[in-house]
Amino acid sequence: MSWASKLRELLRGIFFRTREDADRDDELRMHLELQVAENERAGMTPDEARRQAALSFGGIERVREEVREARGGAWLEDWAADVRYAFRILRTNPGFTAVALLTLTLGIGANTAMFSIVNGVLLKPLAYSEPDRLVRVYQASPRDGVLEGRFSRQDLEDYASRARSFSALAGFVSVSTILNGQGDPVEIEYTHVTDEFFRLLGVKPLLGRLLLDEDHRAAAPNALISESMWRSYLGADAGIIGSRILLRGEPYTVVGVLPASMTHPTPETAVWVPHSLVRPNVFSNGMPARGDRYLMAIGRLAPGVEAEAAQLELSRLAQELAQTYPETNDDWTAATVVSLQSSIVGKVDNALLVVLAVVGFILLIGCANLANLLLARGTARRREIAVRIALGAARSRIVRQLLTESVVLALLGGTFGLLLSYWGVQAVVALSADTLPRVENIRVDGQVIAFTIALSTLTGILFGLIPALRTAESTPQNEFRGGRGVVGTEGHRLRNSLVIAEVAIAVMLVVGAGLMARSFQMLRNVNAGFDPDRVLTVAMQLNLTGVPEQNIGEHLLRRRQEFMVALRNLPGVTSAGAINVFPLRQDGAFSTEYTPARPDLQSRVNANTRYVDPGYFRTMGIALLSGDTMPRQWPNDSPVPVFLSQSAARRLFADEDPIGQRIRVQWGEAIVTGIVADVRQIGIAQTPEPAVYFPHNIAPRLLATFVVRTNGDPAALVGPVRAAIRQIDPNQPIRSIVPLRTVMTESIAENRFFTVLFAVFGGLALLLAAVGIYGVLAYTVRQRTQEIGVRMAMGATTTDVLTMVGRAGMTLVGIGIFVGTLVSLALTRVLSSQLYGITALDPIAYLAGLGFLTLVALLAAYVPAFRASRVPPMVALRPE
Amino acid sequence: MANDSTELLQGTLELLVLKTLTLEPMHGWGISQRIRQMSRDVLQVTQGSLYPALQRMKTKGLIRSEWRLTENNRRARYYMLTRAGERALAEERRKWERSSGAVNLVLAWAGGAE
Repeated sequence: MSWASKLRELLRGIFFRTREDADRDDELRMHLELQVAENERAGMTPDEARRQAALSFGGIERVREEVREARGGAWLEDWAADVRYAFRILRTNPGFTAVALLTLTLGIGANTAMFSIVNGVLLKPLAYSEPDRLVRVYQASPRDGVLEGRFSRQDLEDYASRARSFSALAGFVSVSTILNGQGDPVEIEYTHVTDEFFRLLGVKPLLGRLLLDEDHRAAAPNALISESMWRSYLGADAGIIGSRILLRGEPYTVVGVLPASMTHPTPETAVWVPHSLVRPNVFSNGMPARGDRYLMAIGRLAPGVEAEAAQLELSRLAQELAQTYPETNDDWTAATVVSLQSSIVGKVDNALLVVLAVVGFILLIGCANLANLLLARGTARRREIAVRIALGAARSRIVRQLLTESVVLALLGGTFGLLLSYWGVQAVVALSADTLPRVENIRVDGQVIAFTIALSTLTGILFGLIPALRTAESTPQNEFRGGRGVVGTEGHRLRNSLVIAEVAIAVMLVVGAGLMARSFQMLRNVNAGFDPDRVLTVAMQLNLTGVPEQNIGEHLLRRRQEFMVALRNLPGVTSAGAINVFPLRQDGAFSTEYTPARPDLQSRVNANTRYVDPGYFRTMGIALLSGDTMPRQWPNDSPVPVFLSQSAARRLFADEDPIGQRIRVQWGEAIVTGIVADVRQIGIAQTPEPAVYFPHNIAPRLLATFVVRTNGDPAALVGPVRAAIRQIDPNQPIRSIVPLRTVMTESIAENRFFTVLFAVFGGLALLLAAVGIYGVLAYTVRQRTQEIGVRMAMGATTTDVLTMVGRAGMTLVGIGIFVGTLVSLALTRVLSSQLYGITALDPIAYLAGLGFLTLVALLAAYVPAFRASRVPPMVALRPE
Repeated sequence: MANDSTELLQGTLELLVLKTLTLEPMHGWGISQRIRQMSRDVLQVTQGSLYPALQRMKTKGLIRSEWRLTENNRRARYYMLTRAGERALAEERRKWERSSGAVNLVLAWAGGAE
């Protein structure tokens, strides 16, 4: 078996190298001695016999080497020797090694951390069967600019039965509820789902079964629970199936536990129940009708159908429905279909990829620095190399050995980088403050380790190749001619180009950070339509535990009123109010189509429906533009008074005075008694959406966010507010209790996250570039010490020297800034979708970024220039 | 090289080594001496080509080696044929005979300008 003997010899060559070599030497020595003996027998003198034997042998070293190569595995041996040599070199230059390792650890660590985040969030497929066929489906109203609208149950059923692009369509709607009977009552997320939901996703239960079609029609409510709820609240009891849990005091039978991989619609969802359990008045006024759009939808594309084709088909069906049901569907003439994965990831993908590119650039700057260091060190090592070449080492062998050195260095840096990334990922995830989707998928796994190894190797070759090639160019003739080594202008040019390149890259990253910071500043200064200072918000779902069904409405109204009174009477509170769905938060939000109650007006508006307490507008500081404050009571026979937001009023009544006009509502008509300023409902960066505000007492709501305005610090009210609520209902859970300012900061947390990331990485880039500038100037000064000494002996002042060296440095920086600015002008466009209120060419961001960079560069150039100016002429003139 | 001994092609050297080892296990010096004797001093095997060739053949599995004592009580590495080596010898020999026969045919050709 030829391969077996080959392997045996190879292994011997590796593991018994010393013994094999000794055997070979013994054998050759014996041969030589036998030859000498033979020669003596033939009559030669002992000396002559020895000489002839040696001659016929023909260079014992060469024979030894050839035998070794014939043994196989010689390359491996060489390589092992190179690695050992590399480690020795690294140990003998602790300064260089430390700087290089620090650079590589930061550079590779940042890349590994960002890669594991991008891999977990963007690249890993969803954990459902055939996840690439899963899509999110939206109804769209192009006229109102709504692209991602919800469905009514009736519409969704029609689409599901008619559309051929889908194997299935399913609706769901998430709300929160209160879990009782397991310690303190807690608010949990739960989701109503239609029949097809689980079959569509292809989820398998961890325990028990999924919801069956019967469950959707059954009177007794059955529910599925999440693994995390099962573990944290129900003690991971294997016998949980068939037992009851209390949601808002009502018993639900647990029929199954879903695995942790089930994260739809959100990773926090704790309970899934049939859609048939949706009650009247939760998402609508009365029973949900075709005009009540509250359901979100997912779909599984039929095999071979693309999302675009499905979207076309649904849009066509939407137009059919609009013709059949003009009353409710007139505006809903289109649909949007996007892959489920991208709908979960949202617009983070662009920003994450940009940050990944940013850390890639940082590594490039680090590589430029290391290449420069190696070039400088290569000059010092030219003699060593020349000796080896003179002794017969092939040039390719020298290059290979130098490259091994840089790759070993990079792999070491990669190892530390991997460790660093472990904390880096945690820091980034913590910094993201829950704005990153799919964080549960982020981990340092095999893919990430493979990425790090590949990146490290590539990095080692990238920064090591050019220095290795140049160092291996040294010729014995040049090196041994005496005096100091010749420093080619070519070497200078190479080093200078590297500095220019890294300054240019740093310009890009610093300008990028400037743009993000400016945009964030704009966001912070947005007028959201209310006055966010000195207001405390208290969000909750009113506790219904133990309240009989027929008393719910009355209970909700009374409880809400009790809370209002208690809050208003707290010391320091100047006013209080309440709303069912708070701006910038979307839980429980729904919108309705409104039309004027006038035959001559064809206008309509799709507006947020909100229920407020009269004190709400004053407490929030939302400007009342015309009309009266909202009345608490009105005569039974007169229409319900409503408030419109400015944009809703304009859509419905154009330029007419809206006060006193009537609009159609579910139960008849309502009269417009006030117009208030528009409020940013969805997000600070989104344009305000029209809203229609009803008095809260016409339809009792479960959800309530109370707002109190104080004349002091709102945070100081947290304790008293909690106490007041506990006194009224000790079992009332509070979802959140934070100052209004905090609600605003939370809504721009994602922007803050990316701004901080850019600032950190921009700073890192700047630091590395400064190190690069410093390194090159310091090296030049060291090389020109003699020249500088001569100049000073000839009468140059310290200022002259300072200017000379400083100018050299700032010329490089200047060219770098110029090139970097040009590149930035072309590239910062990729940030556009991340920017708010400024363009990607914002001059202030550019000037600030460039100014800061110039300042740092000046500092980096000043230090070596200052040292040069302190060169005592005598030292400089002393021979080496 | 001073004398008119013939330089050997690599493949030929291996063939000769295999043939030499059919008689008995031998050490390197013995092999080179035996080849010289058998070829009546025409073929000179230099150490520089012998030992790498031996290592190559060992790697290919044609021969194996063993440390033994010589008749003078010296430790020496003895080489011997393996089963694969015997097969290779037969194969190489057939090839050699065919190609040398062919070369002889060409040289013995009587036609042409002469």
